[in-house]
Amino acid sequence: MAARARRALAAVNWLGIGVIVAVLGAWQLLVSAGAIHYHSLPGPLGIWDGLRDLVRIGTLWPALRHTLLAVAQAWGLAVGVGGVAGLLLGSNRTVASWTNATVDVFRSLPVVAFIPIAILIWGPATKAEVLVAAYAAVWPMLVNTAGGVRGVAPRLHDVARSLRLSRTATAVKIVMPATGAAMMVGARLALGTALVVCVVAEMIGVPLGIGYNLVLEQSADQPARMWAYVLIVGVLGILVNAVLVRAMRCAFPGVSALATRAGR
Amino acid sequence: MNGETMVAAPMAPASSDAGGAPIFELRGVEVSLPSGGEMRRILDGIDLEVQAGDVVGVVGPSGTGKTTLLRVLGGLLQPTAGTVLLDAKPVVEPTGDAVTVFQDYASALLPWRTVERNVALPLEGRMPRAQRADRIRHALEMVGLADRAGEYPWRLSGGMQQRVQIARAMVMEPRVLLMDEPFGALDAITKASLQDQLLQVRAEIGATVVFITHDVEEAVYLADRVIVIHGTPGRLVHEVRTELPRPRDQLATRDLPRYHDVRHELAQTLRNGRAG
Repeated sequence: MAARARRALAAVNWLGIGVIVAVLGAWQLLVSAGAIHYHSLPGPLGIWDGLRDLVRIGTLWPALRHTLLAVAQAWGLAVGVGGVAGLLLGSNRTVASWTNATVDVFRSLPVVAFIPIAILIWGPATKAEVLVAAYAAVWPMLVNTAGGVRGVAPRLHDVARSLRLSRTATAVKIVMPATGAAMMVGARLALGTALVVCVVAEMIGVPLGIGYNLVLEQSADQPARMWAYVLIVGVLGILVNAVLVRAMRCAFPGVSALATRAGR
Repeated sequence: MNGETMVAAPMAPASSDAGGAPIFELRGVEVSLPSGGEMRRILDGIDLEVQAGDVVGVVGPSGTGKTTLLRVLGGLLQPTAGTVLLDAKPVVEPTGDAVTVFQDYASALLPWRTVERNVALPLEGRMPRAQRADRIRHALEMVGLADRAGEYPWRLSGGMQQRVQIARAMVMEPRVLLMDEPFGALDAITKASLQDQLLQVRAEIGATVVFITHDVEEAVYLADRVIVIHGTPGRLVHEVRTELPRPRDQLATRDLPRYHDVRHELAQTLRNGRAG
């Protein structure tokens, strides 16, 4: 137990944290000393007060919950659809040649432009937000997965044939794990994309969640609370990513070990 | 043939004098592969018989189709013309009877699986768990890696990784091991110890081995027969029965006059591109 704690401590990037603390400290100092004096930019302590306000008046948790749920649904959809479509596109040359152009066109359309359309179709509700975010997040998943499948070393196909694996076994035991690292990258990018699009959708039209509350505080001229939401979105991005990486490490230890090795 | 050393004339079937039906029989095998928009002939007029239990080395300059020949034997590639028989049955796809061990062990092993699970790969879904575990343990013991079963292959040395690949082929209990420059990427010391281990394992399971090498000494040391492929397209130009006693020994065998004769003959063939 002690050894585990020690290893966890050793894994922490103290220098990186030090830099963050130093930046916050310098920011607070400049604000306190009056060197920075804008109504729209409170110091870290002011933002902390704003955050405590939000907890006190009870708007933070429902907003957070809504956004997280929307992101989770959008991400789940994107990973499922993008993963399957990516495997298909990567492994079947005919499908790929029919769809590559379409994928490129749809992928390049600015997703934010779809938000008003989605709201027009499904109304200003969670459904519109989830579907648009899923639409945006599906592309990184699909493109990475397809690229990963195409990148499977030809030698592994020789191995599969020589060891007489069935088509299904080859797909499940060789192609998917060999694509695993690329799929994980795709899934992580999809998560980041889903979060951003959800927040933007809430800012533009869906009257719920962090994005909506952020805009609300802005119009209410409450910069400290607004900044609190901004920082929450940032921290949320880091946290969901960390949780995802940890979950993948538990679920697919071999592929993750490989990804770690590649990262070194 | 009469136990004299040499030679099959280039176009005659290169057969061995051991009795019984050959395990491999190739007649007029020709392979053309697409290259830059046109078909390029890689192998031409290959006639070859391999007797069960023999260790056959294939040598030749690079680009003469050695690997292609091995892929044909392993059922990974269909010849453009000619017949390939394994146990008198045409080879149209890989069978469990002839399994290939590739040169590039690093890309042939699954890096996300441990050593044990790599070796388990060909057995999964084909036999009960207990039997599978037995076979895996036995195979890993044969290649001396029983204590590394839980490691990931990329944490092992090159020689160990190649042994994992050999163990993975062996759990299928094949009748023929096909090896494409199995020790080509290894240093001399590792190579020698793996050569001996291969011979030991082969003696234990009695499999036929066909291996490619561009190391003439390795071919002579390991093989009962060495065949030489030469030219573009590659043709079978020569064959030698080594007639060296078994078990082989890295020092004693390599000191035998016969060893030097065979090596000399092969080196000369490689230099001239034909026998003599």
